[in-house]
Amino acid sequence: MKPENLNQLWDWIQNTELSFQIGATWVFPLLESIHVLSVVFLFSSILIVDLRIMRVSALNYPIQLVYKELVPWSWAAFAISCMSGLGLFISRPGAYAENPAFQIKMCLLLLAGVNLALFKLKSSNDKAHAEDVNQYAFSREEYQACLSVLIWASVIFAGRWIGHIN
Amino acid sequence: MNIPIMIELIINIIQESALREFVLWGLLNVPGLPPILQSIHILAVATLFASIGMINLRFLRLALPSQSPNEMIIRLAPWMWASLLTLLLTGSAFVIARPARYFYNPIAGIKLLCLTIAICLAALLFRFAKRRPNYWESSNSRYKLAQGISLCSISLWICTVFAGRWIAYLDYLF
Repeated sequence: MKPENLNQLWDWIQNTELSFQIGATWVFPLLESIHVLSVVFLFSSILIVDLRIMRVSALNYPIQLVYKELVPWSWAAFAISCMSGLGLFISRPGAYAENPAFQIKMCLLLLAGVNLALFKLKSSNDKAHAEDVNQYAFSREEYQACLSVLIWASVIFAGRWIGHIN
Repeated sequence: MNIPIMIELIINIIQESALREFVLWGLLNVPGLPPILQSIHILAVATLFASIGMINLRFLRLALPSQSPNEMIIRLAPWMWASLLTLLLTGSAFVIARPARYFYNPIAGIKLLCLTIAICLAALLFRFAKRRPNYWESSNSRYKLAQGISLCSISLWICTVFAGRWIAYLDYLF
């Protein structure tokens, strides 16, 4: 899609009744609160799994079990944060799309997705890991967990910065 | 001394302090300091939810069913206190810089109230769990009580997060 077409799209979205209702009423702070809360739940569930992989916490419990028990929370929180984030985006799509902090946040989300996909792909290919979930994680997994925490923390930083860049 | 006069006195003390001057200078002159502090504040909230939030959800049987609530309390209590300390430090920077904005804001008052009760409930859960191993799981009535405390606690933490966001949007409410 050409940039001018994108700008037309943002203009069209911003001129809709929905965009006005979100941007000019109490719906915006409500969506923002839901967004912050869902991001908090998302990061906390990811943090628990990653800290377990990094052997920092919950060492009595197998990695796969901790992962399995928290993954529904992560996905639910991610879905809610995406929907509330989309609502916030609709209120001023052009301004958000041009905001460098927003662009960095989107890139970081993509990076987090790639990191997760690589983690799952490598883990499922690793027979030894699948057979003995109590085995301590390999160094690669620890690095990936550390990277995951850093990426998600950066997502929160970038998200906060959006409001401070005009 | 009545409460409004006391609040005004506290605001005056803060406004005339050297600490306020220093904090305000930092917030205005250190590039990016306000969003950095706010981001650290949100990360601390997330760590708080990863500790006391998950303990509450565990008691309510909504998360981490394989983990022992008592073991979780012992293991995660230091995380919760560290998160609260970080929240206090990052949050107080903004209160010290602009005390009138927070002391005269009813939403900030609601946030403080929710936070105080939630901390007391967490301390209650921790105290009994540390005093006697498996205290909350030793009888059905105690477990039910822990569930009640957890339900109130997680609701109050959520209210605290919401109130924190709405401090800036007071005009929409009043």
